[in-house]
Amino acid sequence: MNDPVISLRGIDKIYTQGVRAQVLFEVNLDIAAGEFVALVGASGSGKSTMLNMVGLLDTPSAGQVLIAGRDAATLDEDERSRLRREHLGFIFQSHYLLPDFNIMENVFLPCRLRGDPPSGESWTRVEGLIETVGLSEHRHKRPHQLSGGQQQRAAIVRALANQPRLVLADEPTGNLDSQTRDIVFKLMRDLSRRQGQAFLMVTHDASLATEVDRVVTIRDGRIVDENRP
Amino acid sequence: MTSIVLTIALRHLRSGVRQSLLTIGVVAISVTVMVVLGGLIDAMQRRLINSITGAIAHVSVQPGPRTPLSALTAADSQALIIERIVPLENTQRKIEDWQQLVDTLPSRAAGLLAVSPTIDGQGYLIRGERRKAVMITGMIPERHNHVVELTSKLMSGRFLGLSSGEVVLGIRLAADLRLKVGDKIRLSGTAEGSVGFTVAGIVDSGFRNLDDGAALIGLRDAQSLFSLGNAVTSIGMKLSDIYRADQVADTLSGQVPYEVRSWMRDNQSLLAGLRAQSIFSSMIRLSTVIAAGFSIASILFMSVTSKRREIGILKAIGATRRQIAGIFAIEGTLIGIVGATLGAVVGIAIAQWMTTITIVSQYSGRLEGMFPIRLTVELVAVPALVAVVIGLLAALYPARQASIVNPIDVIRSQ
Repeated sequence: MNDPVISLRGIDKIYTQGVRAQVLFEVNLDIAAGEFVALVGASGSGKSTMLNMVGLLDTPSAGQVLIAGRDAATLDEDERSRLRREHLGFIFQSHYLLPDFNIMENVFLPCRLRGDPPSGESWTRVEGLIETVGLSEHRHKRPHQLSGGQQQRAAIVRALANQPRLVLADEPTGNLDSQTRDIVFKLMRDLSRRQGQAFLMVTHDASLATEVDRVVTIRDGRIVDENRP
Repeated sequence: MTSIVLTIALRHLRSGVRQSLLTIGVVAISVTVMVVLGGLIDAMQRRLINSITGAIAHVSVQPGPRTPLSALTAADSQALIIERIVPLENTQRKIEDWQQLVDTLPSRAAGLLAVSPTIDGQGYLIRGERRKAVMITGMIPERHNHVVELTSKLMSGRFLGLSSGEVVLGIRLAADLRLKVGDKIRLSGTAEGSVGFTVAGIVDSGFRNLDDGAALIGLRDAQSLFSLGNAVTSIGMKLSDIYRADQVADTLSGQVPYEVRSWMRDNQSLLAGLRAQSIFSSMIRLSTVIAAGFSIASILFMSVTSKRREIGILKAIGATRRQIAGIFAIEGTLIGIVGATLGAVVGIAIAQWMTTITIVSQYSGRLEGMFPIRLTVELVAVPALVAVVIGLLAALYPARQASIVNPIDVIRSQ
């Protein structure tokens, strides 16, 4: 395997608020550059918690999250935010585009947060991505003026805008009809290949899991199976 | 390049334009109230203080008060026998070395603008069969005018260059006795007869005591009228800063063998009342701006609550806590700036309009401004700045609340 873009080493996650509950046990996972990984498991198996660990949105109770040579578990919140901004992209089940911004402004937000001006190289690259996903004519529209599939395509572009090394997708097609789901999934797969970004996609959809590089199965907080279809 | 934080803050304000405008309106009203109330209170206090200090010296050197001897100390606690009655003469309350003092006082205390030797005494103005009690002031017009400015208030005749045997009268006194420039009157300062004077001028000072019963004559005439020889009864001084009167009086009292009085000590209870009024006014003004601050905080809390999901997503895609807090801090500050500017403009406009409202003075019968508003840069800028600072302070807590939104909580709540 190439150098991993992210490595989880012996991750435990224990929630202590209210009833004490351990949701991850000794999780180890490496994701290589450009790899498309599906994370599958039943509801409550720990998929989302693991995604939050990888996405530096949550901190482990034990273990290491290694990204860009740093252990994210030891960083403060703002440093984790900066790492997210530089190395990670997010796609959620809902598009979560900001209603007060048009599509182009929305997808360029990660670059703006990094300090990039709304012109220049980043802007041109993001315009190219917008064109790739077929939203050029909608770039000045507000999110509510687009269909669900179009909104999710815009969310994918936003996740890729910063040229992250890893994109985390939490059931990105969960709210879409089957035809749109296939289009959006194919788009992510193509972009992954074309841009060289790794993907970690949480999904319940067994049919999608057959079209990825690796399927990681999690059960009761433990990785129980890893296979390459 | 506009920062993304500012851009998001502006979009928030635009998306909730009605709430934003209402909050801006509240801030503007509070600033308007502060500006108008501040201008009104300040001008009224100035007018009141001017009505006191305009017709008197700010600091005056006077002979000390008479302290009667105790009758019991006179004869070993035995019966008091009055052998003869001696009338108190004016010579007991006079300043002989006034010329030297007039020359040297300006160098003894800082901030003295003018020094005027005067003779003040009660007397009678006699016009035919009528006698009217008046306050006779003997002075050197050229000096006195620098302490109590009267030349601009002359209704007729002249004040400067007053010759021996000439008198200037207050307007209401002259009206009461139907006197005009050129008329002959007599003034009596002591029980020993009266002296003839010609009315040389009539003054409308706007000060009741002066207009109702003042007769201003030359210093030598007054010395003669009150049998003072070459002495005067007081030396009045005008200061560049009227509120330094106590300080100047204290400085001089250690240097001259007379009592030195300041207008501030003579009007202590009035000044205490004015101070209380200022404090009360400040409390009202502060209350209005604090209410506006609560309004800003309230609107920002609502904004933070309604935009929790947006905040969570921004944090997930890399916004730092500082950037998130900055969005809401900027919103509060912008509301403060726009509200303060609007309030200041409206406040100035209302103040200008209020100065045009006039009433007929019961005292002088003339049209006078009903609201003596006087705006200064400070009276407008300070409330505006306070509103901006309050806007920022009011935004800090909501901003902090926004900055600690956990993106996971937001994403989970989907």
